[in-house]
Amino acid sequence: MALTKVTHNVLESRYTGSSALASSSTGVTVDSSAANVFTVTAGHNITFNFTNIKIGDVKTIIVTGGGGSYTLTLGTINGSSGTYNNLGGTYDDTSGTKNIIEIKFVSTSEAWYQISKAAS
Amino acid sequence: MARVKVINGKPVVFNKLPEVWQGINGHYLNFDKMSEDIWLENEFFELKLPEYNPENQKLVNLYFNEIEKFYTYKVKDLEQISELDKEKNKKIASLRENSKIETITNSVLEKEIEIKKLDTIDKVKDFDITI
Repeated sequence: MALTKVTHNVLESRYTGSSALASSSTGVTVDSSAANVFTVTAGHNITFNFTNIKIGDVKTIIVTGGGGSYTLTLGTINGSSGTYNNLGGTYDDTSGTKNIIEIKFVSTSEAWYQISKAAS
Repeated sequence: MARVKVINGKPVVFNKLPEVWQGINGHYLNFDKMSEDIWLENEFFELKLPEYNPENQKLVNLYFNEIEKFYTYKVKDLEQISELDKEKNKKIASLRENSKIETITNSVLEKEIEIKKLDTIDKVKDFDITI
């Protein structure tokens, strides 16, 4: 029988995987090829540096607030400075608060993102 | 605390820092909670208000203190000055009226000079024009 559908299990990790990132004050690498969903609990002021970004990539980063008034910065894209456009939402570092950052890369130097939190 | 940043060549006062800012070393998601270093790196300088009396002074001409790296205003005296001048003129008129034009003497002129030197309305009002 001919294959007529691309199934989930044949897609690369960049579309299907989940990766837990370690909080770091020296920059956290978000390797786009490794996963589609990234999670991290803020334990430092974090700068996310994106690598292996391809045009059209959509990534989800779930940042759990660390309660230390930590800050988040979106840093480089594939090693170069990037332009980020905020569609809405702000980061809340309240301990345990989950911040869902959905980010769409419209080029390898520009992305659009929004931050959402669970309704209380 | 208010900050000032030059945007399109003009200083813009931010009474509250933006939550999101596209900075020179990244895109800050909670810029308002960043450190002083980050704010300065992105040229958001502190706005320090000089001491002034809003009853008779106002703040004008926002400028950057290059040495201490903050913005501040110059203080300009308000209408009080012209009110003071009006009061001085009234006092001098009274002085001359009391003295009669023919009898204006050095002592009258000296009193006029003294009146002109006064720096508050109350001092002018209380000034003794008796010769």
